[in-house]
Amino acid sequence: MFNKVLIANRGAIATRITRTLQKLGITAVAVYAEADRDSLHVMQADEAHSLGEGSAQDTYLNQDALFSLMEARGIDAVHPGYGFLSENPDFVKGCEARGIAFIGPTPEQMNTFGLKHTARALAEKTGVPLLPGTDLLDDKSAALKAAEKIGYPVMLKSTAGGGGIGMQICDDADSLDKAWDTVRRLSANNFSNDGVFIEKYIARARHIEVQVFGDGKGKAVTLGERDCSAQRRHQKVLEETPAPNLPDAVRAALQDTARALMEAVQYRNAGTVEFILDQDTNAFYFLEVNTRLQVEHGVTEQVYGVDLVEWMVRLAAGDLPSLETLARNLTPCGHAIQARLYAEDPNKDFQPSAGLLTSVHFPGTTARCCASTTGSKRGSPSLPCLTPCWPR
Amino acid sequence: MLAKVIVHEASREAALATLDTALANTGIEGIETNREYVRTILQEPVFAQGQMTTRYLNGFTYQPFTIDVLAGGTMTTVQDYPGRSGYWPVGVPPSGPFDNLSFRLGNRLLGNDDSAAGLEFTLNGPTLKFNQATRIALTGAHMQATLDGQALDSYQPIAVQPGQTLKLGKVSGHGARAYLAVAGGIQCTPYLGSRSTFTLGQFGGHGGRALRTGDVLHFVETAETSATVTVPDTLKPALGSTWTLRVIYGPHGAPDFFTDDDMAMFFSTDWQVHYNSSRTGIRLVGPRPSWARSDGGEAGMHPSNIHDNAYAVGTVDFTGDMPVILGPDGPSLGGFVCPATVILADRWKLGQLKAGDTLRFEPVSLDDADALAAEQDACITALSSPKKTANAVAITTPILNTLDKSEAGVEVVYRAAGDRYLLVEYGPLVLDLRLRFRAHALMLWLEEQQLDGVIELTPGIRSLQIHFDPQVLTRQTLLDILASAERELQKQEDLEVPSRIVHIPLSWDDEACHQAIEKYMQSVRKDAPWCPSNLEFIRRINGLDSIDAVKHILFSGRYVVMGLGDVYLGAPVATPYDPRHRLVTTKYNPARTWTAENSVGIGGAYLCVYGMEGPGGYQFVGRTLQMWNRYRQTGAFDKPWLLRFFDQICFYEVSHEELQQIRRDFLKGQYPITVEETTFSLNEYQQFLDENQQDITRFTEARNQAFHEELQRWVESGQINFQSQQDLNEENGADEVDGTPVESPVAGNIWKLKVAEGDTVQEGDVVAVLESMKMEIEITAPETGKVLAITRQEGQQVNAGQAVMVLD
Repeated sequence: MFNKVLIANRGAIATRITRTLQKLGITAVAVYAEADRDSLHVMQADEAHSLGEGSAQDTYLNQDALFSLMEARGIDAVHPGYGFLSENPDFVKGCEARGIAFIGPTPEQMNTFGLKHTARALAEKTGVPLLPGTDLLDDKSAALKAAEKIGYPVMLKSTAGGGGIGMQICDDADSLDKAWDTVRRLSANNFSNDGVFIEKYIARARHIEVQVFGDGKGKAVTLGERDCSAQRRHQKVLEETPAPNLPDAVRAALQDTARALMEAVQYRNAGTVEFILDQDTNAFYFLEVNTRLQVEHGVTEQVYGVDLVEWMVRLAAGDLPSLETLARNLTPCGHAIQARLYAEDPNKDFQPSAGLLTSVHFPGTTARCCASTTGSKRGSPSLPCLTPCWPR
Repeated sequence: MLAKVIVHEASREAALATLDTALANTGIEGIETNREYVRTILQEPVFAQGQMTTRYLNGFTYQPFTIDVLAGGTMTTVQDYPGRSGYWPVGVPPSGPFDNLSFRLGNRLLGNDDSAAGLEFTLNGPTLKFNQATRIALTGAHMQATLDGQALDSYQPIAVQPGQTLKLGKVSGHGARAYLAVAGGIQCTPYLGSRSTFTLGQFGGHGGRALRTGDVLHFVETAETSATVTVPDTLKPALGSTWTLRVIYGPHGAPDFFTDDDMAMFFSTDWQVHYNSSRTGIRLVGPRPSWARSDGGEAGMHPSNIHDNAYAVGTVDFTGDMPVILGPDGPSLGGFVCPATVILADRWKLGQLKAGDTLRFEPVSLDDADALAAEQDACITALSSPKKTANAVAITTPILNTLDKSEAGVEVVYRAAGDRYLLVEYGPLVLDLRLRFRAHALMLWLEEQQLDGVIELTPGIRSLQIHFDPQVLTRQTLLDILASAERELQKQEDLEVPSRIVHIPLSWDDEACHQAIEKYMQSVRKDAPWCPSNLEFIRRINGLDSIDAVKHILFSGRYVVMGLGDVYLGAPVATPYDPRHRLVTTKYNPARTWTAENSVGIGGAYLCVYGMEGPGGYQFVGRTLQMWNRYRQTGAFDKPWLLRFFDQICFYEVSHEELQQIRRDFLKGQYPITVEETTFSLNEYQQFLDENQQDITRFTEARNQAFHEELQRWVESGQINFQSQQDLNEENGADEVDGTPVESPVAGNIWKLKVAEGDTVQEGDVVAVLESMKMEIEITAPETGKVLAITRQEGQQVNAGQAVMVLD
C-alpha cells in the first residue's frame, strides 16, 4: 500500500479523497493556490504545500510544479479528483515516468475516450448503440447532405467539446447552415480543435449514466445507473440512483452495454459511460465516457455501500481484491439523490454570485443525509472562480 | 460549487422528501445560491414522476421572492426595531432605524410584526426591482419615489407586481431619512438577535454593510389583505429645519461639571447640526461651555473628561467642547460628560436632523417622558393621534437618590440618564479598583435577581448603568431595590473574582497610528499638542526622560479590564494593576474621526484597544490583534468577544509585519494566545499597594507635576482655548470662475482631490472624494471638460450645492 498520496485538486473532492486516505492510514498530501490557503481541504490534509499565487493554470494545472513537489516530498501516488488534470494523458505519462502511480485510467484510455469521434468508433466496434450520426465533417455541404439522411432535428457537435460549449440543435437545413461556422469557431477557440460532426437529436432525452470500475486486465463491474437529466445549461443540478421510471430490462441492458465497452479497452479504475435515453421509446444511445471519478459518485456509494475512492487507491496500489469477489457483495439498497448547491443567481441567468458568506448553515449529517462542502464557512469569501468551474 | 447535499432513503419518495427538508434546513447568506431553485424543481410533477428530460429546465421559469438592488443609493441599510438588545455591556450598540417612529409606522401600515426588518434610506434612495408581488409602504422624509415611472405617495400600502422597479430619488424638503417597509419584512438571519445593520461593526442586515448594486434581498410570500389603514397626520413625524428635542437633565450637570450659566446657555442655544453627523452621533455647533472644573483630573486634562461610564442612547455627549448626540450606532462607553439625554419619545427626531438644521433642548420631567413614551407605543398600535404634551420644567438636579458612606460603605449616587437608564456611581471621582468591584458586585447581584424590565447592565470605571423599561419596572421600585442591594452587599468581607492573564502582541508605534494622526491633522486639527507624535506627548505629559521609558512601562504593565466596548465590540478599557505603570494623558480635543481597528491608546489613566474602525480620542501607543471575532468560534473566541471583565492583559512586542500576519491568522484560530486562569482578590491588591506605598507616591507625584506643567504651557500658548472652525456659510470668491461648476452633493470636508487644474476629465470621472456623515462620498464630473479652477482644497469644508471646481 502507498505511504503518501498527493491530491492534485481542491474543494469538496479533495476533502473527500483525504477522508479515504486517512481511513487507509495513508498520508494525505494537499496542494493549494495561495487564494485557497485557508480552505478546508488544506486544513484537513496531513500535509499541505503551496503552489503559489495565480490562476488555476499557474497552480493546480501547473504540472512542473506538481512533479517537482511530488519528487521532493516522496509521493507514491497521485489522485487527480475530477476536473483539472484528471483527464490529461500527458500528466499520467509524467507521473508514470517518475515512478509515481496515477490513480485512474491509462493515458491511452483517456485518449480513446477523450475525443468523441474515436470514442464513437470504438463504441460502434463493440456494438454499443449509437445515435445515427456522421464521422468528422469537412464541409458544410456534406453536413447538409448527412442531416437530410438522418432526419431533422440534428445536433451539430464539436468533437472536443464539453460543458455544453460547441453544440447546437438544428431544426432544419437553414439553422444548420447558420450554426456551421459558429460551432466550428467556438470549438477552435475553446478546444483548439475545430472538428465537428452531426448526430440525431432526441427531443425528450434523459441523461442516464452507468458507473463502471475496471481492473485494467479486461474485467469490469458496473454499479448501477444514475439519472442526471435535471440539467440547466448542461450543468447537472440533481442526480439520483437508481434511475426512476425505467424497465428492469432496460436497466440491465444499459449496464451490460457499458461493461462490454469498458472491458473492450481493458479499462483501468473508475469511469462512467453516459447514455442518452429516449423517454418515448426507452431506446438508449452512447454519449461519452468520463475517464475519472464524477461529482455524483456519492449517490452510487450510498446505494451500494462502497467507497469508490478506496477501490481506486487500492487498485492503483495493486491491493484490490478481484472484481469477482467484490461483485458478489454488490447489492443496491434504497434510493439516493444529490443536489448541487452553486453560488449563482438563478434569477439572473445563473450568473455567479461572489461575496462574503455572512451566514452558513448546513443540515446536520445523519445516517440518511450528508452535506459535503467545499469548505464554505461563515466569514469566508466565496471566490468567483469557484463557480461552477468543474466540467460536470 | 458550494456544497453537495446527498440523501439516502429506502424509497425515492422518502429520498425526495428528505432532500427537500435538508435544503430547507440549509442556509447560505451573503451571496445568492440555487437552493430555492432546486427546491422548486423538486416540487415539479415531471421530476416527482421521474420523467425529467435534459431540456426541461431550459423552459422552466423561476420567480424568487427577491428584490434586486439596481442602485444602492447613498446609504441604504436593513434595519429592524428595536434593534440589537442585550450587548451594550460588550460594546454592541442597538442600531435599528434612526427614525424609529417612521419605521414602525411603515410596518404598521402593512400589518407587519413590529420586529419586521425594513430599509433605511439616507439622502439619496436606491433603485429596487421586485421579482414577486408584494406590498410596500414608504415613510419618513419625503423622497421622490416612482414605481415603473408612476409617482408614489408616502404613508400608504402599495401593491407591487412582479418585475416592477421602485426608484427612489433625493430627499426633498425637510428630514434626512426615509424608510421602506415590505410585507412580512426583509428576510436575513439575525446577528446577535437582530437583523439591523451595524455598518461599523460589519454585521447584521445584508453582508453587514450598506446595500450596493447587484445585491439581492429576500422577502416572503404574504397573503393579500383588504383592510386599509391610514396614519393620522398628527402621528406622522413632523419634519422641519428647526427642532425642539425634549430631554431629561443629566446624568452630569451643574454645579459639579458645568456652571449654572453653562446649563442656561445649553438650554437657550440654537445648536446647529454639523455636516459630520451620522448614525453614530449628531455633532452640534454652538458656544463653548466655561466648565465648572479646570480639568478632568485623573480622567484627562479637559474638564469634559470623566472616568469612563456607559452612555445612554440619545445622550448629549460633550467630547471636549463639542457636543454630540449619541445615535443608535454610537459607542457604549466613554469618558465625556453628558448634561442631557433625549427622551425615548423624541429619539426618532435624531434620525431626521440634517446638516445645517438648528435645534433646541427642552428639559421635561421623567413622569412626562414616561407618559409620552407609553402614548407613542399606544398610538402606533391604534394608529391614533397623540394628545399628551409635556411642559418644560426648570432644571434642578440629575441626581435621583444618594446613599452615604454609613449606609453603603462608600457614597452611592443614582443619576437619571434619560428616561430609560439609571447610572449608579460609587465614591469619589477617582480611579480605584475597589469602586470597580462594587459595580461588579451589584451587576452580579442584579443578574441573579433576573428582574423583569431590566434590559442591560453595563459597568464603567466606577459605575453601573442600568437600562430598564419604566413601563415594566418603575423607576422608584428600581431605586428602592438598588438601595436594599447595597445594604446587603455591604456585608461581604473580601471579594475575589475569577480573572485571566491574557498575553497578546503589540506593534509599537504602528503604521496604522501614523495614518490616523495624519488624517486628524489634515481634517480636524493641525497644531494639537499631541501632534505629530502621540508618544512624545505621552512622554512629556508623564515627565519621562525618553520614549523608550514610555515603551518600557507599557510592556511591563498588567492591565486590568474594567469595561468592554471602549470603543465598541468588546474593546477593553483597562488600567495597570501597579499604579507605577499608570500613564496619564489627555484625550484628543476635538476627537479623531478615524482610528484603525485594534489601535491601542492611552486616555486619562486608561489603556484601551479600539474594537473597530471609528472615531476616538486616546493617544496611540501601537496596535494589537482583534478583540472581536465576527463569524467564527475558535479557541480564544467562544463568544464574539475575546476578553471578560477583570481579565489582565500583558503585551509582548511584535513588528508591524508580524502583526499583519498575526491579524490574518488570529480570527481563524491559527494564532494561539496564552491565557492563564487566576483570581483577583481585593485584599491581596490592598496588600500590594501598602507594601509599595512610598514608591507609588513618588512616581505619582512626579507624574502629576509634569501633567500640570503641560497644562500651563497650553494656557500660555492659547491652545487650551482651541475651538472648532465652523465656516459652513463662508463663501469663497473662487466660486465666481465662469464655467460648469462641479457641485458637492452634500455638506462635507474635501478628503481627496483626484484632479489638478488643467487636467481634462471625462463625464462620470471621480474628481474628488468628500468626507461627510462619516462616509466617503465620490464627486463625479457632470460633463467632459478641462479643469479651469479648483475652488476648494483638500481639508476644506464645502456646503451642499457649492462648487468644488469649475470645468470649462
